[in-house]
Amino acid sequence: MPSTTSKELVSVGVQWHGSTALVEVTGAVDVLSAPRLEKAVADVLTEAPTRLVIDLTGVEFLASAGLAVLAGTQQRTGEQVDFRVVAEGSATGRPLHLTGLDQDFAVYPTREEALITDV
Amino acid sequence: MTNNGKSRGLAIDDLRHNAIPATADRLPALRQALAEWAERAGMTPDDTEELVLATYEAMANVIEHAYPDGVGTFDLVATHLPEQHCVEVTVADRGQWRPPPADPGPLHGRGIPLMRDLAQNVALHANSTGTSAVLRWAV
Repeated sequence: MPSTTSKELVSVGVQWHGSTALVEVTGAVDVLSAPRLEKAVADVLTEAPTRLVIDLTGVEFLASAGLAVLAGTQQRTGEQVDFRVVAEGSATGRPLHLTGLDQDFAVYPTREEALITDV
Repeated sequence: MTNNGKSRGLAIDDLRHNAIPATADRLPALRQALAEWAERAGMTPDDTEELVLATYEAMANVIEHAYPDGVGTFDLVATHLPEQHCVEVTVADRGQWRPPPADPGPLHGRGIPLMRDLAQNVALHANSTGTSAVLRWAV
């Protein structure tokens, strides 16, 4: 079976909207590629955003390794940063729901809602 | 022939990969192979997605636990059993799992519960020669 690199699996981009950091993920987040997401989030958090949105709209596969990064982000952001996830469709929605993580942080169906909704 | 190659009650060939190096970079191609096989077996896209994720979690467990030295292989077999209306996927290693921590904490340990939620039946067997996970879905 051929081997795959993490770069082929996932791409992670960062955009800033004022003090909101938007981390846009495309591809598959699994054991191989989750560290890329983790590093991007760590880098963003050093810039002290007030809100962090991880947008998984372009993710077609989300494994428990990816869920661990989201749970870890929840822990790291705590009270200082408003942490939100965008997830739409069963590839991301199902694992978030089955593991109950969708109760631990706010999950929005679209990026726009995650960016404009004030709690 | 217009059956699109999908199962119409006849068993399709097993998917079989032996002695796969237990490293994470091998798994994406296996996910693709599993998805294609599940489709040929007549599984719905939704069931296929569940099969691929559950099997991935079983394989990720092998990568993370079976070989503390990081060197070893595992086997993946998917079988279509139309007379039993099911498909069965087996992930088998020859390792000795590092004992998992008693409390994985809130950040880890979701793989096995996810497998159990995604598959209709999960059987985990471990003995001195290795560990296997057998996952079943009705079709």
